[in-house]
Amino acid sequence: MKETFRHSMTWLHTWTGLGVGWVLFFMFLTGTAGYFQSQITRWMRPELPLAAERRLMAPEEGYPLTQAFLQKQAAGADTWGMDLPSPGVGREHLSVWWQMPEGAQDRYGNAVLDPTTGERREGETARSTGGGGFLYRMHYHLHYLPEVWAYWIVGFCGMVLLLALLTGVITHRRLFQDFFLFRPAQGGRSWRDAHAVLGVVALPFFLMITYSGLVFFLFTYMPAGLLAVFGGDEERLEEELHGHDSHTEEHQDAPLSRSGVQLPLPSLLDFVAKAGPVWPESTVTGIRVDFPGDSNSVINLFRHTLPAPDSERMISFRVSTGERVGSEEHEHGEDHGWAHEVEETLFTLHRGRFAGPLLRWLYFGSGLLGCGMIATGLILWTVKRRPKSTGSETSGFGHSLVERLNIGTIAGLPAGIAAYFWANRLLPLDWAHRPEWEAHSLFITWAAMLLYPAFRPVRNAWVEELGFAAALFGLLPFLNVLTTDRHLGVTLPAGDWELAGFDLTMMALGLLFAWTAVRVRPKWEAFPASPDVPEPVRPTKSSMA
Amino acid sequence: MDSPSSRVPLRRTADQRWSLFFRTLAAVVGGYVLTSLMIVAFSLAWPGHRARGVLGVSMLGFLIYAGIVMWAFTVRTARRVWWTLLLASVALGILITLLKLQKAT
Amino acid sequence: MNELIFFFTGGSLAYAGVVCWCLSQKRHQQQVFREALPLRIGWVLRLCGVLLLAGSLGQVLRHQEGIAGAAAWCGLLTFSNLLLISLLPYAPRLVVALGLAGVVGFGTLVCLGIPTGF
Repeated sequence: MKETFRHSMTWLHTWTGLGVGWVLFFMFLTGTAGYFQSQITRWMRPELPLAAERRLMAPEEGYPLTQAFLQKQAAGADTWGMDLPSPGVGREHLSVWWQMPEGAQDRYGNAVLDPTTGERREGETARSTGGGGFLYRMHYHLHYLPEVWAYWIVGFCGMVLLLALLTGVITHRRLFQDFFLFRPAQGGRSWRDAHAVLGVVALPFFLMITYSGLVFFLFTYMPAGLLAVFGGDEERLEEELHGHDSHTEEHQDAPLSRSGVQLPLPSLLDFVAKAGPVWPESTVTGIRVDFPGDSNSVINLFRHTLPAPDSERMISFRVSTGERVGSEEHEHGEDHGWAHEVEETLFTLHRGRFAGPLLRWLYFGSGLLGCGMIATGLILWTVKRRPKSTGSETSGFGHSLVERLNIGTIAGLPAGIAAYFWANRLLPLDWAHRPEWEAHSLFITWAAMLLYPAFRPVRNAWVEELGFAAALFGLLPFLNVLTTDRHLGVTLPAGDWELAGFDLTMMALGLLFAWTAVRVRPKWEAFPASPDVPEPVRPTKSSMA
Repeated sequence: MDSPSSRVPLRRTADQRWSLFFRTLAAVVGGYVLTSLMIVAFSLAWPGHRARGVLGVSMLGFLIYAGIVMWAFTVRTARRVWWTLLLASVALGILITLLKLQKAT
Repeated sequence: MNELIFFFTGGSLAYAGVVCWCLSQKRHQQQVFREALPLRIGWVLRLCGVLLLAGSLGQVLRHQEGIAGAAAWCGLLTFSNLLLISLLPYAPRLVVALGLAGVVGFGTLVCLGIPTGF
């Protein structure tokens, strides 16, 4: 019976993987790009200053400016918000926002401040673009689709991926004995080894990403419990989740209201200093003030970090007394129970915002391994079913379709992303529709790459599309030289590793695709002497092309 | 479709195709229903903090669903899948009704 | 810089650890040494592997606590394995040499007094 079980799981693995493989490839590729979204955005806005010229701001520099600006601009507001530039999370600028009381004329406002003058920065100094954020958002939002459709498609694919991972582990019968096994240049067997290796080597990452991805929309996909116990009222669940402690009057989660008594807001830096003992190694990257200028005012300080039992992401102080808002338990971090901790941990692991540069590369690399796992799986499916050496070149419609979709996606989608970057450099700067058309360039290129293999023999299409992707990536740094002054000749000497790293990565990807194209070519020209050659080639008219 | 092997012949009889279709339908739809019922039952029966219980059990839902789908493809006949899911759902339905009545009192 | 040193040291221990595990298997012993090693050596290698992996986990956790550190360690393990597996069919001796080089590099850093957490 064990053999039958394994066979069933293999069957399930094969067909679930095939069903959604291309969508998953899209999600993984765009999501992986998302780990460097702020770096990508920076590259796509070459008018921004170089790293060395960019002043990373300390709280002492930034917050007096923001406080002064808000005092002038938005006195009497219900809420003030201010953020220091945090390039690691994509905040390039010193920025503020505010919310006036109900009934005010312009209820919401925001501004980007010039760090030298403290005044509102006029006009946008860098080209408008979707940036890296666009690629990131696409991995769960897709594109051209209503949000709700996208969430369901993505959720379905995520669920299928979970199944594929679990069945894959079961199918891989000699997981531990064959852990280090890789036999290259042996046709179908090599593809299977590669697929297994890629899958196993980053398995914890894949399981985490898949499961946490599903949990992001937990009550969309699995609303049964919420419906049964809370009647579908997610707010009520959230309230109960965050504990009764937060709902006594002294605590800032209780509906805070204006007292009407005026109390001038002291310097925010004093409160930033109070955060020192609690967050010894962290910068206060953002502040929110509730009811500035009122005696009930509360100041909330933020930083970006991983939730752990003894760390927090927000500390609050009452302005009138200067004391921490929160009970004794809150001294040790917001304790919302194990379920919430698990959920938050999953989110934080998935997004990886806490990651330093090296860890971020590990995340990026693991994401690329995911793309590789999916790609090798899709290719393995076709290789196993190629018509053997009988001289007949015919393969069924399904097989042909899959072969061509593979080419169009595995080579074509990366080419589309490269085209997105090309569009960023080539589209006119003043054009209002730049961001939309950068996006269109991605999809138009991808569509063309999907259609092209319909007109070519499979083997040629592979080589040509891989070559095209190689060209798009590899030539991008040269396009950069021609169109901007943020190319390698400038960024390397200046030590701007983010921008230089982008160009270098593009070159590396170009080389990778070129190498793959070169490796694929001889296979199509090999003679059928070796029995393990994936596709035997009898020279026919079409292969002579 | 009885014991599918990894090299499935591409041509199947009509019977086999229908069997596969019904099995898949049972797994996807029936499995989801059963998973939801299990979540409801666990949430209602949860002894501790109920919001945490709902959150925690719901998060497990994906794993439960995956398990049910995988199971559905190991059972010998599609018919058996349907019957098992149906019986389990009815049993859970009764349990849930009892739990709700208990809560009401 | 700090992150770099911890990742290098943690990574070199992780890589050495997976090399040990790999070499504890007969198939791969034959790849590297042309013949299988005695069974006892296999067990010793496994033990060394476990110790090295534990050491690398400890090293990474020093730099980054909790779940974040565990995630970083998994990442190091992933790429150590990937490096090993992709090189093994082509240059099995190089695989072992790299493992030794990594550990030696770690030792050098310690001796030079560069802060590695040791």
